[in-house]
Amino acid sequence: MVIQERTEKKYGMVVDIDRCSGCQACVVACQSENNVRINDERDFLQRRAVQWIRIERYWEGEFPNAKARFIPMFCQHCDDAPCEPVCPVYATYHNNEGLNVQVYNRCIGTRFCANNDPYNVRFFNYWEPVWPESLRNQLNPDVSIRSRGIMEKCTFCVQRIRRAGRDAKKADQQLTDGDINPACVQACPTDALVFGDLKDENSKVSILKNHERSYRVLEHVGTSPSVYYLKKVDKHATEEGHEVHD
Amino acid sequence: MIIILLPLAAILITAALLLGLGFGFIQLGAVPTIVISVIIILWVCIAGAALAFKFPGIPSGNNGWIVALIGTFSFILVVTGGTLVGTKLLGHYVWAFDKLYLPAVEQPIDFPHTSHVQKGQIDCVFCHSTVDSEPMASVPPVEQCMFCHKVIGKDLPGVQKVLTAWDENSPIKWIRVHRLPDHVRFVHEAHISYFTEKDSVPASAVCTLCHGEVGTMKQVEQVKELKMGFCVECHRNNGAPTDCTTCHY
Amino acid sequence: MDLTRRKLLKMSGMGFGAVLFAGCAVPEDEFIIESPHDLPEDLVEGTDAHYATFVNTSNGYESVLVRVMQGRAKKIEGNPDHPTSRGKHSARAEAALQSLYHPDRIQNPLKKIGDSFEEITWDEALEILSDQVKRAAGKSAFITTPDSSIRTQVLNQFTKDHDISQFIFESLENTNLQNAIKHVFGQDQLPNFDFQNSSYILSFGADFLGTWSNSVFNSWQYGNFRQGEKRDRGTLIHIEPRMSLTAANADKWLYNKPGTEGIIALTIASVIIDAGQGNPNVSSALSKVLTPSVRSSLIGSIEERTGITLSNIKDIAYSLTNDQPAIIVGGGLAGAHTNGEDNLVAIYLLNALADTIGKTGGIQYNPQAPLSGLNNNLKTTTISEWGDLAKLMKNGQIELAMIHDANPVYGLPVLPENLNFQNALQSVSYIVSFSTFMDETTALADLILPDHTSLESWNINTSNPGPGFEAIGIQQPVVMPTTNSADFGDILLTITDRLGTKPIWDSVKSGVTENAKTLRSIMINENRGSLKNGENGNSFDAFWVGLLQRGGWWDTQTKEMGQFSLDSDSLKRLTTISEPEFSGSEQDYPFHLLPFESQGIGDGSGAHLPWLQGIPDPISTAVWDTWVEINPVKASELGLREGDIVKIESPHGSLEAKIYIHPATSPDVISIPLGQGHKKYGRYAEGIGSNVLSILSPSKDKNSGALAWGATRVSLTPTGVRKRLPKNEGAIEARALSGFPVVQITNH
Repeated sequence: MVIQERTEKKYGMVVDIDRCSGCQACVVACQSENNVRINDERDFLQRRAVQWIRIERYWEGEFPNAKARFIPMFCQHCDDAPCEPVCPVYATYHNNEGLNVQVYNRCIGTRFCANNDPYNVRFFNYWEPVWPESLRNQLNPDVSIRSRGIMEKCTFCVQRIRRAGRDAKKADQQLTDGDINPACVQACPTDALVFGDLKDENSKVSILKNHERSYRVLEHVGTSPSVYYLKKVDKHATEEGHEVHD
Repeated sequence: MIIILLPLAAILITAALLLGLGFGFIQLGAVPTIVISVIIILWVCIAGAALAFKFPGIPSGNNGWIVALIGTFSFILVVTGGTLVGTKLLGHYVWAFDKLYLPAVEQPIDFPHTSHVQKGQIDCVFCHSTVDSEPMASVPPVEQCMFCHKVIGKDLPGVQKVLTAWDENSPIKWIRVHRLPDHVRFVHEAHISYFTEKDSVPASAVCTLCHGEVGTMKQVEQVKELKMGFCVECHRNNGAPTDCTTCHY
Repeated sequence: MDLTRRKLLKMSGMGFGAVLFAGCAVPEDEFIIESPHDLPEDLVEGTDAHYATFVNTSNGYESVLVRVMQGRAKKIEGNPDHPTSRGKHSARAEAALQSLYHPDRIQNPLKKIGDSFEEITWDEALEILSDQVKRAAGKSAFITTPDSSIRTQVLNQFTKDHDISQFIFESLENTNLQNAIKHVFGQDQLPNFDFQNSSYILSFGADFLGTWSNSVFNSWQYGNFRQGEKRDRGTLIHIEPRMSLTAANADKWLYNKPGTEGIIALTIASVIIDAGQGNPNVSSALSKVLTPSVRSSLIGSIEERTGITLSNIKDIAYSLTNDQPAIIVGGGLAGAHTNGEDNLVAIYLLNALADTIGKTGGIQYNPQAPLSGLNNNLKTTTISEWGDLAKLMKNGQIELAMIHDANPVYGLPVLPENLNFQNALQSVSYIVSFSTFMDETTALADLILPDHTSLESWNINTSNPGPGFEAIGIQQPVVMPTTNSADFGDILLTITDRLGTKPIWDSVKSGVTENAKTLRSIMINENRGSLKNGENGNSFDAFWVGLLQRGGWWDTQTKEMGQFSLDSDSLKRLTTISEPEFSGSEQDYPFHLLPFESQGIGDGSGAHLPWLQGIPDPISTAVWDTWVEINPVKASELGLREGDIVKIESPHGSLEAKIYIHPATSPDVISIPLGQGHKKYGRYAEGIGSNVLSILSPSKDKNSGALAWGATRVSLTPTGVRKRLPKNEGAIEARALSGFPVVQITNH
């Protein structure tokens, strides 16, 4: 009676740190697409600014050999996500497409998931998001607006994934690599972000994940993230006294 | 004793009142809340009377206050609890109770589906044209009504309102009957395509599954509960995905 | 105590209070569905349509697709067809949505009555405007920003007809760059920097990944430059006195003393000539100016003069001639000194020596724009000219000032002879503003005629620099106007009636259509361009639809070879590169002030948009504030911690801002971002931070008279007050934990 179609997909991303220039186009594109609240000064002072994707900057060395390294950080959609087992109401779980799902209407705001999250990519709505009347015209109707007390995070633009699936079904075609582009991937001017199905051997992400520069962040913690990063190339690193991780 | 029990009782009563009335107001609306408040006031007065006057069998005066307090408190609980639990919560299981809160709505123009569908034999998709291609079924523009009504039925008051709207270049503000909460993303097209393909029926045969026999309604009202259980059951029966992000994102 | 009936009733009364909280109910108006009057085909409920247009940026435009749902613009995405966008867009383009729906937009034309503004009708407003123009003929000034679009044809005709002088405002002037390009390459339009095919980029101060030139196109090229397929990874060397975004991404960032970029370029040239490398003709021409003794003196003194070691110079010189194709660019701080133009001439001449001109992966000439109305109003007014205008204004010789798209009251630093533009402007008898927002300049206006935003206008534009071939963008409105604003070009065209002059077009839209006809005739007669005849049909309408669908028109085949010739003028300039001069003495003002454009809010024109304000500065991660970047060792010498408010004083002004300890700042410079310190500009900009432009000294480039905005010296005094600096970084400086790196580095 119930034969659930098992979708053989595992969505993941590859971020090429050598390409990322730190321009923040992805940050604003994500905020625009996903109805993320406007972060004002108070939010940043309280370290409660909601940025589903953020560019982290790490310093290395001292002047004149100081270096700034950029890394875009967003929900890694871990296979062994530490945030999933701790939700008392099962508002976050791993679905059969490899996404770490956050169900807004189940969330009761314990914030245990954010506590467990080693990447700090989960954001809690401490305040009701308020937009001035005219700015509400810009809100995306395809994405729920989270009210106060709800946890939110990067969803790999699941609304775009669903839309692509529906469009493909309407046109009677299969989804191919490159059909789905989350807002950040679409915006990134240097093409540092790539999205695709890790189970599809021919997709760009599958090929790039086996690149010699590929690694995953905080891999030793054992979260098995679905986001692979490609190491930053710095030919002068050792001569300027910086660490190299080969 | 008094020092412990009296504040405790006052807190309990206040809490019950606040909870009950507040909850009642949200769930039931203004009228039931006012009715319950009136009943509570009456009973507080009766409790007071029980203290003031001597009734046979009931301790009164300075000792009667315990009875009055407990009695009032239990009554409040029973009344609010009973009304709320009885109708609203049971409404989850008993559609009839839930239906109490979803009556037929008075629309700006008294549009009768009966004359259009049963008499006029107009297909659902003719007016709600995007139901098989887009997420929303959409209400037709005034222009659509004018296709026929610039000739037919010009003497009817409803049609006259349409003609006025057309001439004045203004929209008609229909009151929404079927409204899912904001956290649900329902896509008509996917459902229509599924059923039309599976059972090889035209789109309009599918509408009744969730909207009931709209063609027989003089005033449109919601006749199916459209709660998540309703959706999930049908999904389970038809092998559709039951992943949360199918509808909640 | 005994509870009496009295007490019980009293207590029940106190407890009896029903709190009715309505917070969870659905608002009434969400239950209304309107059936619209008639339904245009592209307006289907629940689904979207994408329109191609462009948004105006400080460097021309960015071609975008706008996702529109039910008449509302929801999302901006790069236009995948357009050669300078390639489907990508920047944060500033995205924020154009907030500009469109901004709550502080001026809703109607306004007239100043007493101290406040009153709304008037367009008829009245246009009547007043024409009266004023007639009254003040010959004594008017029009202030606008650099604009390469065809709308300038309307403006230019208007100023010509009524004898109005035009002033083009840019806070960090590009004059030196434009002049240098003209000297070296002999062209008005900037050349294309072919980064994506280059192997070695040497950049002097040009933050091409962040705020300089076409950052989206440059970034797209940079991505390919680094990890493009079928090519080796390129090397980027960046020389600048501060760590800009491009410097942070460079393989090597070299700190140089401010203003010494020209000397460095000449030293590199000297090393190349000494090694017998480089283009032989250029080498021999240069050696007449860079004689052996000059060369050895440059090489001998390089480290002392500029702070860059000789071995770095030698490495660069070697790579420029062996790591081909190479490209050298300069801009930003390199041109922001009293010797700025000379610096840039030397830097760009290095391209000739390194043989990069006209080559793939090097500097490529850009052809002229395909339409005559493009690339016209690009010559920025210099600080000396602003000073002259201020004098005229103060003397009452300007009767009418009209301002469009510019905020000089905020953006002009102190003028020569201690003049202040705000005072000067207030002496003008009538001020008209075409601004969409109430900024500092508009607040002084007597008449405000609000302009449309990017997403509501018609226009055609080209970017400067272009991508190496002819490329233009078409701008079309994607939504109905959301306020009672009117297109600026249309306003000027409409009042020609009242003024008795001839309008060049009926409206800006018809101007766009006319230019489209020109493009179509190019397609038909010359058989070139991105649209092919017969693709949509053979009529003009079909061409027009094709143009709007693509969002522009381009012809990749129109590469211009250009004729580079080394003229004696440029050579002479190389001998006159002097030491840069700075305002204030070193004792009184020990630090160099390096102002920089913020990644989000730019020079302040984006400060009213909350998304842009909320973008953390990529390197310091600070937001919503102005801060002073200072070297850690220097800071500890002065006893300063992050957040300490300091007074920064220049010979021409002072401001207060919070300290940010910046590991990549030299001890003798401090950097302050532009953009904050607005007194008016909407709720998201007012009262935040300080305006660093207000303390810049009006130093001039000795050749062009342009503002030398990097030539100010300042002193720093702690105030003893400390406030937290809002930023994304944690309380502790973000450094990798050894053994647990988040960013992993490899050296191959």
